[in-house]
Amino acid sequence: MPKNNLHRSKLDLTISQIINNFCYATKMMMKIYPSKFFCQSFFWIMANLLGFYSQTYMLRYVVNGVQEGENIRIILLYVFFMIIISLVIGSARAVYDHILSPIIDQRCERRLNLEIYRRSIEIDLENYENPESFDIYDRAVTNGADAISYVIDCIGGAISTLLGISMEAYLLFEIDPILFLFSVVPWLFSPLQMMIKKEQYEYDIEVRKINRRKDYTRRTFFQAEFAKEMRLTNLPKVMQHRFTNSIKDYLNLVKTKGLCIALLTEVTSIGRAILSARLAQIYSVFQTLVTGTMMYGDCLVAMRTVNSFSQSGSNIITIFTDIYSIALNIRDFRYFMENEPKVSSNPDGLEPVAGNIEFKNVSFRYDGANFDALKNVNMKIRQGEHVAIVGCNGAGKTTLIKLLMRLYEPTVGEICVDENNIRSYKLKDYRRTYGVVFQDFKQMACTVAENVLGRPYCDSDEKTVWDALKKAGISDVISKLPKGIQTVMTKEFDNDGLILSGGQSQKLAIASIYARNVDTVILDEPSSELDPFAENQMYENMLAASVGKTVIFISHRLSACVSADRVFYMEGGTITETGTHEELMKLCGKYAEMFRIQSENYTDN
Amino acid sequence: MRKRKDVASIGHILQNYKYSFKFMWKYSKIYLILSFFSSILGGLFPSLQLILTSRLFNILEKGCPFDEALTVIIIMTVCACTYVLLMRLYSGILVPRFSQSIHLKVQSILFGKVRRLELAKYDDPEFYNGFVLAMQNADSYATAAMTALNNLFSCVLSVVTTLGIVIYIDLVAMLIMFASAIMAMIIDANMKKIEFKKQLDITPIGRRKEYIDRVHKRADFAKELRLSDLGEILKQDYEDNTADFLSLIKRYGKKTAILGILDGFNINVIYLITIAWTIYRMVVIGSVSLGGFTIIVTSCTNFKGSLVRLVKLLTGISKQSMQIDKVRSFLEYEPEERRGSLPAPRFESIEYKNVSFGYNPDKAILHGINLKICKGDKIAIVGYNGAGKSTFIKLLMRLYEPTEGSIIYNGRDYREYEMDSYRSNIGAVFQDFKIFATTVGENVLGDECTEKDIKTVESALHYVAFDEKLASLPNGIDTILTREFDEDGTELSGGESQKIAIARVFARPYDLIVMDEPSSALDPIAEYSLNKHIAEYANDKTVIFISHRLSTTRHADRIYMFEDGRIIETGTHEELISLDGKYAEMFKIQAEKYIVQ
Repeated sequence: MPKNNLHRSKLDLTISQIINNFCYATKMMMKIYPSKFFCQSFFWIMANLLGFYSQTYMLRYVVNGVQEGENIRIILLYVFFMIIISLVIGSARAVYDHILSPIIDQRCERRLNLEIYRRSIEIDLENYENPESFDIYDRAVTNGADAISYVIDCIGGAISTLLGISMEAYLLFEIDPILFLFSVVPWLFSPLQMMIKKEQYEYDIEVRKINRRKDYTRRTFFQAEFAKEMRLTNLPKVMQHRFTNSIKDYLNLVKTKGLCIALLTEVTSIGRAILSARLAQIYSVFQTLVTGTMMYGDCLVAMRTVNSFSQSGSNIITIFTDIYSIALNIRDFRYFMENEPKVSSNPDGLEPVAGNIEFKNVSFRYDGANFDALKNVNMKIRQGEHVAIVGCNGAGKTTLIKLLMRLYEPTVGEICVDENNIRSYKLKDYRRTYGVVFQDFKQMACTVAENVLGRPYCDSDEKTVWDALKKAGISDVISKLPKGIQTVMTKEFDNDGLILSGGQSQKLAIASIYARNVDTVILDEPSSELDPFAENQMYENMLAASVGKTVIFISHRLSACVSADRVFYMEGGTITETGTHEELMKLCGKYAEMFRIQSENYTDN
Repeated sequence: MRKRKDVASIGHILQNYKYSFKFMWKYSKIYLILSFFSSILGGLFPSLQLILTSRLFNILEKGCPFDEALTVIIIMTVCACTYVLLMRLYSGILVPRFSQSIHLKVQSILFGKVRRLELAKYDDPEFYNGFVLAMQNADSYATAAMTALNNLFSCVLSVVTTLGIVIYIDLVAMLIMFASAIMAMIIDANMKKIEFKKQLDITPIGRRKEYIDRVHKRADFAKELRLSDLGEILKQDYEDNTADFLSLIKRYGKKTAILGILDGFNINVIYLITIAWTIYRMVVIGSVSLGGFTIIVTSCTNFKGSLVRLVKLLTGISKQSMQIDKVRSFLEYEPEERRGSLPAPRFESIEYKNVSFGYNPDKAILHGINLKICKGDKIAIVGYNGAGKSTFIKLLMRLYEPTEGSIIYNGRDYREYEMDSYRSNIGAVFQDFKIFATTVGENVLGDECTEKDIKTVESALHYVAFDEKLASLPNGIDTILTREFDEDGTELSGGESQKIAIARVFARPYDLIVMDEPSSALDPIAEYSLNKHIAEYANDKTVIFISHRLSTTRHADRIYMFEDGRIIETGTHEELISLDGKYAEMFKIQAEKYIVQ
């Protein structure tokens, strides 16, 4: 599988690619849904066969029998026999549909979902942060999962259709071979039908695009987040304009492509109807009335069967288009499941230890970017040091941290902890040595305790959690809650769920650093939400929590740098100035300037 | 709000449909008439086919000359082709065209309404939910009555004609068919009841699953999931959820399986019984011809299908009526009197007189605010988070109105002025601003951007130091922002977005400018340059600056410190420092770190 990015959905696949992908989808299906496949196919085929049989062979036998004057008792007995069979199969099917099938479905889906969840965490972070990859990843999981279960319908339907066609063909042939000829003619329309399907597909894509725009403009009117701007500006006029334009676009589409598709569909269906069904009808009637070589039963059944047989032709085409769309939709899913992440998990690696952190000539470029986010970074942080990394937005500070935590791999150079390249450690355990508070920290809809621990809770954790909450200065808020640390957070599932303010949230994040046994603490712009008092408290708490641990601050607010052991100033992806606060001020470089600007207004001149 | 009891009554449903119908009649008579005709066609055509087919078989049975048979077949062909062609034309071309134009009409009316809706209504969950539903259902609102009636009519026509034909052939067969159809309806109704209960129980389970999916799929938690074992918690949740779901399936499955068996019996067995009976009548009694037999065989299943559809329509009607209700109640809602028709003059002064405000009547956010701001003042509003600073601004912009006291603009209660005219004097940047999925120019201007506006937009962007970024954009001012509208749209970073929001204030000649934490996402250099530009630009204008970074507010003419919704300290920076109160303390904490010992 190519290692480059998930690609945008192109419509063209080669034949071998189609076959290849479809086989993969089938393999996945057999791995996840085997029982569903067999049961469903079985019932489907049985039901279809039964239905087909009673509509054709049975009818034919009955009507012919009546015409020939067969003993009515035998006919009625035969019908009675069919009734019993119907009952049995029908009941079995009902039990399957209502009880067995949903259970099997659920079990199979469970298998699939657990795989997907596991894999979601395994793949590179890049897939989430790069907006281009994200769309595609999104599609992969949604469409891919659908595609796999759709294989069952596709194959089951194919078998069903092929069986049906063979039975119909046999029947027609048996009644009169010429009929068979009539039924085959409509299949000549197949290329036209494929073309129509392709047009329809493109049409649907266009419609979806237009609907997306329409939806968005409509949302701006009623979603609360837009409410202020919609009242204070003339943007409603702009949005309404776009809405009207979307509708105009749609109507244009209908007039052009829509018309084209409609006409083509008409031509095919009329052509098919006349050329096959009607001609066959005329032929059958002629044979019955004039030459007398056909019986009524035959005639009745023939007319119906020719009709349905000619439509089977389009069913076969549907099988092909289904295979094609499955092959298309499975690509991204396949990449999702099979592609080796760039950051390898190294399960047999070393146990990580606390130690000095060193960046050796590290450069890094995001996938698809035109420039390096980090250029030749050399940095050494001693174990237990408190350092600050500062610089303007886009200087590469957060990228540096992500590389340190092995969320990305450097393009050039290596990162070492305790003299070992971090790649040699077990990935999971290595990452767990870091306690991070990110800018965009969010709580999950599980209990306070679970959020703080970052893993499932057991009773022996109670003390740890409360201690952590106390040290972070938020235990009073939690102890007031009726369920204490078992309170569920966010209002996702519980209207009484806990929602914390910005400041409280960050305290909870800090509590999690206390609760987890980490070697290094990283704070990424943690105080942007806080007012000065809370910010001050947070820093103090942080320092108290990190005795003996390495602490890395990333902040705009240079006040944090004054008390740091060392400061790294970054610009354009490199570290341009290093030293203590005093040293950098004496240097009179960029850092000093930045500091001066910020402090200017605080100091009395 | 309508009472619950009324809502389900037949009278009320009829009223709703009349409403919808009147709307259609007013805006698209043609659509109404055409759809009516299409429903007649749809109702009659199947029966016509039936009659012709049976005629054909009677001809076969009687051994009539071939010409007659041929004629019938030709008539059938012509009818079928015409029917299909007409229906295709209707559904493929006419329906989209008409329904879109109605859709546009309805949306325009709704949009106009929304514009005038007070912001406070967004905080009222009952109203807001109804409002959201109304907006989402607007499409069907107008066409609902028409579609429902047409489908109903078509169905009834089809059922009645089929019945009529079959009765003519054999009464008992028809009774069997009819009984089977009734049974199908009863089974269906019971199924629905069980399904509904099942749905209620499933919904919370479904939501959990959807949440777990979302957490794994979105970027929000991606880092967390890799850095901790939260994934294990989710996995456990999922297993529990699945177990719940399985037991639910088993419980309800037993009930629906029984109904399913009955349904299968109804479909297959009744069909066969009908055939057996008809054969008996045909062979033994001789009262049914071959043509009659074909009719019964063909119409057996079709008839039931039509009747089931009929029932679905009838139940669908009450559901649609509820949707129409939502739209209607929103359309009929008139925002509380917004008197005020005076054009607002240019800003001279604004005064808060004992203003109090709360989203809930019992929980006030602002208490007894008194202050006056005159032309040319540079005012700073500071305080800790939650002190009420942002609410203060929302009142100023008349997004909300004081629950007590009044706000005086140029000597008059600001409610006397016409809303838009008043607001056009004040330029505001909010903390929670939003970038719209439209061009850079339109985002900055807050209006359509024409040739003559380009210079204004460019100079506004210059003030916020956006020039470099602007030059790098693919289409300059015409670049579409965000990926909502267009997959190739440009996403701006947090700081860049903030600059756009700030530029809005510079794009028009506002006399009064209000900025709420405008530089939270900017780095110090950008913040410094922004503050410089604001100072330059705002030379003779009135500026209200809200921040909790006291370095930016230090040079204001007057500082108001808020706490718990009250103004606790007022004065210049020097005055407040010598006061040695809360402001001094806050300043000290921030400044501490910067002051070199």
